[in-house]
Amino acid sequence: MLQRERAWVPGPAWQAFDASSRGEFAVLLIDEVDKTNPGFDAFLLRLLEDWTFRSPSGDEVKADPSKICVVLTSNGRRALRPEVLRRCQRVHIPLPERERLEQIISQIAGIKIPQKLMDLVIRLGQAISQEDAEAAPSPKEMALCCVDLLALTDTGEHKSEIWRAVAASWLVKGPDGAKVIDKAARYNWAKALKAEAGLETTASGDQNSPYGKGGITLLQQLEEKVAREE
Amino acid sequence: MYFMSSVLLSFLKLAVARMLRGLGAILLLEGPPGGGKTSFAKEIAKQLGGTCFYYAGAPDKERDRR
Repeated sequence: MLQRERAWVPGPAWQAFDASSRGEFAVLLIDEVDKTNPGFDAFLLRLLEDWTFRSPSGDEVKADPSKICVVLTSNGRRALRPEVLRRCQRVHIPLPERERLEQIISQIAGIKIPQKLMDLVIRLGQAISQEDAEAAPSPKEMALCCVDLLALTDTGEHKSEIWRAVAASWLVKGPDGAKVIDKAARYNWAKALKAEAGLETTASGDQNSPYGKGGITLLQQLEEKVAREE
Repeated sequence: MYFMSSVLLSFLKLAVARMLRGLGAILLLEGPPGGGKTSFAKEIAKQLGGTCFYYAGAPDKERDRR
C-alpha cells in the first residue's frame, strides 16, 4: 500500500524547486539536454512557464525564481524547441586556448608537469577529439593522465604496455583505448614517450612498490587533493 | 576546482544578478565537450552557497559526475 503511494520518486528537478521554495539557493543542472527525447522540451516548458512542478501524484511545488538558476548544457546533437530557446540565455563555451588549457591541467594536477609530457598529452587529446569530438578528453582527464604517467616508475619490461594502458584509461574510454591511443599518436607510443616526454629519466622507484618511491608520493598527493575537493 | 575566463565570469555574475531580482536565470551552455559547461553550473551553485541538482539528459551518462 505504502509502496504504491511512493511509486513516484522526487527527482532532481523537484528537489531543486523544493529547495528554492524553502529559501535555499539551488542550481538545476540539466546536463546534455540535447540527448533527451524531443518530448522533454514540453516538460521543460511547463516547468519554466510558471516555475511550478506538478508531480504525477498530484503534488505541486512552486520554485522561487530569485533562488533558482536553471542551467542546460548541450553539445548540439538535437536542436531544442524555439519556445525553450527563447527562455534561455545562450552562452557558447569554446574549448580553452592552448596556453589556458596548460594552466588548467597544471592546476588540477597540482604538480609540475614536464612540458614534453604536457605537449604529448594535449596532442593525444586533440587527435582523439578530431576523430570523435564527443570522445574528447576533458582537462581533468588529461591532468590525471599526466599525474599517473609521472607516478609510474619501475614498470620494468612491460613499461610501454603499461604507459599506453594508463594513458588510454584516462584519455580514451573503452576496450580499444590503447589502439585508439596508438592511432591518435600516429606513431609508436613507447618511442614517443621515450623521445618526447623524457619519462625514461624518472628516478628509479622502490622495488617493493608497484608505483615506485616517487610514484607513491604523487599518488598520495592526488588522493589528498581528491579528498579535499570532496 | 574550476577556472573561468573573464567572459564566463561575467555571464555568471549576470545570471546571479538576474536571479536575485527574480527575473529568472535560465542558461543554455553550448559547446564541445571539455569546455567546462558542467563545471560552470557547479560553480554557480558554489558561488551562491547552494546545491547543484544534477539531471542527466543522457541516460547512460556517467563521465561528468566525477
